[in-house]
Amino acid sequence: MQVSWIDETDMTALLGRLRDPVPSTKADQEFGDAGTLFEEPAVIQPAAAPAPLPAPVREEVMETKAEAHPDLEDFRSRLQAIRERAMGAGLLPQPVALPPEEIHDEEDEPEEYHPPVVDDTPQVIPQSTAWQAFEPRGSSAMERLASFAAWAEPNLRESEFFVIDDQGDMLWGSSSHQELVLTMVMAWVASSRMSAVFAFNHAPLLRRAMASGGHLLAIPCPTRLGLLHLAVTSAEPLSDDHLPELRHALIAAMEAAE
Amino acid sequence: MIAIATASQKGGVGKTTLCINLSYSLAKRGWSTLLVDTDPQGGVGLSLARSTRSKLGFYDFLCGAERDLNRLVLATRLPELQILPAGQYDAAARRGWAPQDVPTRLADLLRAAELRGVDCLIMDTAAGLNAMTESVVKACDHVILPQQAEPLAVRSVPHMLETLSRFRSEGAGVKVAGILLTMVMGESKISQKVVNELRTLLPPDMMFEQNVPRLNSFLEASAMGVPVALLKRNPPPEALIFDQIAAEIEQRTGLVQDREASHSHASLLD
Repeated sequence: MQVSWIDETDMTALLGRLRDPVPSTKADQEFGDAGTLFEEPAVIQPAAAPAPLPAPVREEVMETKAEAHPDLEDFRSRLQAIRERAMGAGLLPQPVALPPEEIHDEEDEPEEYHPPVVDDTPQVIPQSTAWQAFEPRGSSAMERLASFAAWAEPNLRESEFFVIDDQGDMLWGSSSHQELVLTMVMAWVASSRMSAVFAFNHAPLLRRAMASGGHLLAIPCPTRLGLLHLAVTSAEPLSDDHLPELRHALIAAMEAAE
Repeated sequence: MIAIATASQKGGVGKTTLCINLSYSLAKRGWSTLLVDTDPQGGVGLSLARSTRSKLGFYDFLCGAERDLNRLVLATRLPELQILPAGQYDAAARRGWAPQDVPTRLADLLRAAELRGVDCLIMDTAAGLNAMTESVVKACDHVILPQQAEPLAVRSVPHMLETLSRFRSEGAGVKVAGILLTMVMGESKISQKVVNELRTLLPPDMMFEQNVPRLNSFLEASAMGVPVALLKRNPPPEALIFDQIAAEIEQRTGLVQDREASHSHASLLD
């Protein structure tokens, strides 16, 4: 007489399911093949005429939660551990280690910004109302970043946003999608670097529909403190209307000095 | 680093005893081991020292009361073995934590442990699969399933495997290191029958070769607050049981391959 009351057939089926590989998500497949996720833009010739912008990267909607995949979590954790070790060893700068104030004596007017990436998402939040001009305040970079955030927050309404530096360190803000967004932006930066797109001063925007249903917009902003990224997550994709203002405001916040 | 959780539907199957003794054996075998007590009862601490009850620990890290893992980890007389006690569960519960933040905090914990150079992180859990235990198991690379060798206990095996199957379908990559039969009574026919049935039903890779018998020395060790290997000056034979389980863990989790890949062998006189 069996005392465990375990059905052999059920057990075989259960074991089979436990041995199946963890279901991979579409998002993971994309992350697993960074070369196809972030297609390298066509080579840009620095000609006098308006330079041809990188080919639009058509992003597919991620259908499942990328955070759920164990490999991704593992990769993130390991990458973070490597970065922390490198920072501990002094090989990488500490996060939020912004350099002290320097008077920026050049009055470079940022050139008009033309977002080169075309979004394939159907609906766009209209942003037709005029925004107040941003005036950076504060003596330190962090204070001016705070003033930028105070200016941007009402303008971006329901959207969440944060600012990260070129190393992926958070300088301002938080987001419920922080991990996913950071990973995406970092991958995008790596891809852009590989294709040397920043050498032409036309850093492309990143627009993605996220698995959680929101939309990500990442705006690269070259500043004297290095390349910063303004990442905005929103329920609906943001229109292009105010993107130059956002970009110029963040650059102004970093460039200004009192 | 490899993170291993223990989990069982039923309480009193010897999870804490297993965790303490397994951690000790792994540490003796040269692995930098961190034993984390996620059971609010604080069984690990209570098994080892009276003073751990007042220490901060896992739940204080979880709720953000202390964000530096290094301040929470307790050293032991074995340099390779460190312990993160459960901490002040009630204080942490009053402070509160967002359930959705738990996976992130657990990931922070694993990352911090890896930064400390931990090779093997063992997480003791509360009985049953509550939300915290579920998060802990999902955060780990492997899970050990201690099962008391008695009929009622093993009847929950399919349920447990079903739950783990659900974890995997939800995207968690945790793998079953194996079912470990505990509290096996050599003189009991029913207990032996349970052992035989499970070993017949389940493939060898799903079952640890080593069983943990029910022995008085485990009780004595618990009473004295030591791993069974430290019960006497010369470790009793039953201490070898956990050495054997540790060796199996090394093979089943790939722990030993990791080191072999990164360390070449050294001769005796090197």
